[in-house]
This record gives sequence, C-alpha cells and structure tokens, in this order.
Amino acid sequence: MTEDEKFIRELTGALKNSTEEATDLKEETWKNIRSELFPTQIKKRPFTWRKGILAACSGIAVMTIIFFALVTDMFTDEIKMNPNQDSNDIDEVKDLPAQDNDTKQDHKETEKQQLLEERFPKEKQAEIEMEGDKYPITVHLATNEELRYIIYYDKAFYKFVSEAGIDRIVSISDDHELDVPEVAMEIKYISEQTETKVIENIKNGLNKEGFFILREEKVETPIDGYMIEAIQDENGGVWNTAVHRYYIKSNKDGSLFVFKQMFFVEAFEGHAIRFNQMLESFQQIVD
Amino acid sequence: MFQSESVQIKKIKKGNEQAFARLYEQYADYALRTAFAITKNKYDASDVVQETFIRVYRNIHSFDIKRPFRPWFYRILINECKRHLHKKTTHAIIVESTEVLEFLHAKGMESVHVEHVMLALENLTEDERTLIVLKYLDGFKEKELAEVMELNVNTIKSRLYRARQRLKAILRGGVLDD
Repeated sequence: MTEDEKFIRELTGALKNSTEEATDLKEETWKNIRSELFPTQIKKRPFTWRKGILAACSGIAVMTIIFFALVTDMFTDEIKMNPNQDSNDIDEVKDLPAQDNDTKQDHKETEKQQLLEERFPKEKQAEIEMEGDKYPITVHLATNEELRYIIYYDKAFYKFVSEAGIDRIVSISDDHELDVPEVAMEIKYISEQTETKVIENIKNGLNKEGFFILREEKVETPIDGYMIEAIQDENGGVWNTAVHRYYIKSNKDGSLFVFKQMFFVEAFEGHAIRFNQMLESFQQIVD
Repeated sequence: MFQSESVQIKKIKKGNEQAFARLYEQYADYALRTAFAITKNKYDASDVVQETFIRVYRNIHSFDIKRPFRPWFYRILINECKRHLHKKTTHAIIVESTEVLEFLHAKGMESVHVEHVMLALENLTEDERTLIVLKYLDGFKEKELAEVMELNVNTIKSRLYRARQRLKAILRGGVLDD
C-alpha cells in the first residue's frame, strides 16, 4: 500500500468516525421535516436549532417590552393627573385616535374575510390522481371576500398571494439554480370585456411572448369554460420549456374569471394536475 | 439512476409521503455527516439537512428523472450548507489557524487521527473542505463531483489533489503552500 493510499484510507475512516455524532439527530430532523411538509399529521411548527435560540431571546425581549409597557402605563397615568406636561407628549396622544380608526378598519376587513373562512373548513383531505394512481393530500382554504370566491390549495407546495388585484397561487420552490420557468396560477376577474375579446387578447399575448397554441376548446372540467394551452417551443420543447394554460369562466352577469396556469413540460404530471385540482375546488359564493 | 430509485422519485413527484420517507432513510445519514463536516456543528447540520429535504420535496417536480438523483440532491445540500455558513459568518467563532496548526504540528502525527480531522478541515477553504468530504466521506467519483460543484472534471481533479496535499500537510505537520 502506498503512502497516499494509506492516508486516504485513514482519512475516510477518520471522517466517518468524527461525523458519527451528527446521525443522532436523524429522527429529530425527520420530525421537523414532516411537520413542515405534512402539517396535518403533526401540528407542531417546524423547529430549527437556530430559530430555537432566537425564540428564547425573543421571549426575553417580549418580557422586557411588557415590563417597560407596564412602567410606561403607570407613567402615563401620572401624566393624566398632571395637566402641566410637555406639549410634545400631548401631540403624541392626539395621534392615538387615528390609529384607533385604522385598527377598527382592519377589524372590519378581518370580520368580512372571516365570514368565508367560517363557512368553509380551513383545511380538508382530498385525493389527487396522477398517472392512474390516487393519493391522499391535505388542501387549505384561500378566500377572496371582495370577489366572493374560495379555492383550496396544497400548502406543502404553494402559497396564496394577492397583488394588484390579482390572486396568485405560487409554487414555493425557490431553487433558482434549477433553471425552471415560473410556476404559478393567477386568478383574475374581468368585468368590462366580452369572452371573445378576452380570448383574443390572450392569444395575442401568447403570440407576442413566443408561445405556440397546442389546444383550445370548450371544457367542462376542471371548470366549465374555455381552455387555451400553449408552449414556448414549436417543436414541443425540452423538460423545462414553459407552458401556459388559460381557463376562461364566464359568469351570468357578463363578467369573467381568467385562470392562468404557468408551469413547464416536465410538470405536466405534477403542477399541471395540482392546478387543475385546485380549480375543481373553485367556488363563487352567492349570498 | 437505478430503476428502483427512479420509481421512488416518480412516487414522490406524485406526493407519496412513504416514498419520501424512504428517500430520507436512504440519504439522511450521509447528508447529516456531510453537513456536519462542512458546517462543523451538528445542530447546524440538522437545520441544513431539514431545509435540504424540504427543498427537495418542493422542487422534485423540476428534477429530470433521466438524470442521476444523487448529484442533484447533493448540489442542493451543498448550496444549503453554503447559505447557512454565509448566514452565520458574522456570528462565527473564529478558530485561530496558527494555533490549530501549531497544535497539530506539535503532535507530529504519523497517521490520521479522528479527533484531529475536523480541526484540520477547518483550515481548508470552503470548496476544498466540500471536495474532501464529498470524495472521502461520501465516496463521490470525480464525474459526480463535477456535476455537484458545476465544474469540469479536470478542474475537480486538480482542486482535489491540491486539497488533499494541503490536508496532508496540515495533519502531518508539513508546510502549507499559501
């Protein structure tokens, strides 16, 4: 055995022995992973050692704030008793009612939002079918009070965000080095355009972005409406070529919902199926 | 990719928790060891591995089933280690390199001792440490290392050789070349 071979053999053994203790945390690590990805089985919030230390520090900070708040409150009581206070203190007190109004407004909004939340379960078990097999999943409620709709989505893979009047269910995969296009489903409400005009605009938009229409047809599932599916490569693309799929749902009053699904070729059997399953849960609420 | 692993990944893509648990069982030990060797703290290693598996599950849709899974997994693990180390940089307890070297040199070791390996690894650069750990703890081939580190095979070979020489010098009291 050469000296180099001896060194490598010893190094391998030493590395294995010196890292052995880390495997003690295997079970604990798995519990944390499960609580993050499959929260219905384990309700506990995921724990990280770093967050644990931070939480302990935060606890101390909160206690300190409460202590000072109590002390300050006692001090404020003294001010009320004493009319000869500095005018700066009075200005601060004058600002308080405005904050109260904001808080009341927030409460009103929360109450409105809670109405839909109270009427439907916050999470429920569902079944998803992929390649012929059915799998149980847990889906979570998302609501839009103004547009009066609800939809269920899987928090293990997505988050629900509202920006500039458009609701989005966005993939929480954030590994940029994986080189995949955006994965999301947009829910947009349109009240001032006909279905024909909306379809025309979508097709023009797709054309400008270099997409080629694969299919367009009336559909009954996952939603009763019109579907346009397009891909960003005339020849079918590769695994990560972008795919955009639109569903247009017309309402009785002439308004429309447009659902824009964005994923990629490899995700036809993943995100695409999940987005359609979410759409099946979409409900407009008539009070 | 082995047929069984390919089937397993397909199941995970469909959201099968049991298949994911099996994958964890298969990869967790060495992932924890690797993260420990790189981050130098077993609790940090646990956080890193936790985040890695969560990322793997959430990104599994974008994994190309025709490609080998292990380099893809380790690329995420190594990136997570790096993220963690950079996040910790400001809080890190810096071990004085000269003190470590003097300690190791004083020992005048003839062979590699378990208790000194981690100490010696600290004196390598982050990339050197990662290469040594992946090669000699996880048993990666140069081609796989190239995929994980996103470098060409020749670069891997020369960096690995250099890292090994530096480690040997540290452990056996030789002279470091920079």
